[in-house]
Amino acid sequence: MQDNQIVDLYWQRNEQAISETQVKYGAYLKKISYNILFNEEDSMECVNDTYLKAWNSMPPHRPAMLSTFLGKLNRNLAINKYNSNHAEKRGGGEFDLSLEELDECIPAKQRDDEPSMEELTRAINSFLHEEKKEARIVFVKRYFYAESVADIAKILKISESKVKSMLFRTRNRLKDYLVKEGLM
Amino acid sequence: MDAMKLASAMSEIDDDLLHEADTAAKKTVITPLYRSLGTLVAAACLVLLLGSMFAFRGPVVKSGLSSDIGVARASTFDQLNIEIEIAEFLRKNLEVSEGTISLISKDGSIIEQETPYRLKGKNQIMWNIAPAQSETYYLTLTGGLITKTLVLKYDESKNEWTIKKKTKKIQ
Repeated sequence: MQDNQIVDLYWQRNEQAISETQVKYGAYLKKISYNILFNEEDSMECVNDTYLKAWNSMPPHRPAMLSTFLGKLNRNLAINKYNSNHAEKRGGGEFDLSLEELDECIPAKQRDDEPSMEELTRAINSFLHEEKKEARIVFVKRYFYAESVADIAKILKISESKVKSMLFRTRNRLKDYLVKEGLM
Repeated sequence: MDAMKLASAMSEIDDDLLHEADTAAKKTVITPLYRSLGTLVAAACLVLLLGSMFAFRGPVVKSGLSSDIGVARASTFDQLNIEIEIAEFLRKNLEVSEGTISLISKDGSIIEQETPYRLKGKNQIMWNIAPAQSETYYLTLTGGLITKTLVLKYDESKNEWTIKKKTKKIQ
């Protein structure tokens, strides 16, 4: 079923919307939440919560791209779950590794007032749009989808060392960009 | 600020960036792998016997896949754009069970065509489809005495789309 038909089902309050979403995007959403939570049960719970959140937000919302709309809902839920599960220490999955890498984007000395989430997202968007396509794809795969370096290398048919090197350089450029924009 | 805040800010990045990353893969051409010399000889003889038949050099799936022997895998769950190169001498009919077909011209422009479509000469086409995991889809190419079919199916054990090629000689 096409995305616009699925969205129409949500707007009609037809429960088939959930089953169609499950058929088309169930595995996609599971992969995102599993990469973050590294736990089968928790990731399934997140996927089910995503359906509920989608049901509650459509209407009034009509997403331009259903896949990314659901992906973002799912990722936010998974991160919330991750935070409640790992209040004291990190858990050991791909997401933990990606967080450790993102630590490198944070300068030791930061400004006193923290940037808002909107400011940060806006800056990341501008930064990524200025990056070369391949570097951008690798970065988003790693830090949005929390895909492993090995999986990214396999999908893009490049070596793992190249993926690591691209990520390292992009992180450094992002750090410089955030400092230049006065966000850190 | 910590890395978690940065990771959380990533959750709201633009849709086009997410879609680009989700559907990205290097162009992959799947060529048949002949496991033995005997198979190779048999294949060569078959080609000679049947004359100028047509051959897929694809499928080439740009949406997140890796290649294997006659099998393409895609991990995306939205729109699949399956690029297929068809080299042959005869005219042939192209038909799909679902989705649309576009012709890719040499300058890279893409023109959508209604199917069944009559192909002539060497062509590069794209099968655009938004598949559901529970369904199986077919692209069929018929020319002379041969029917070649691409079968697009979701493999639940691997969490991937698979494309297999089937060849049938019409009696």
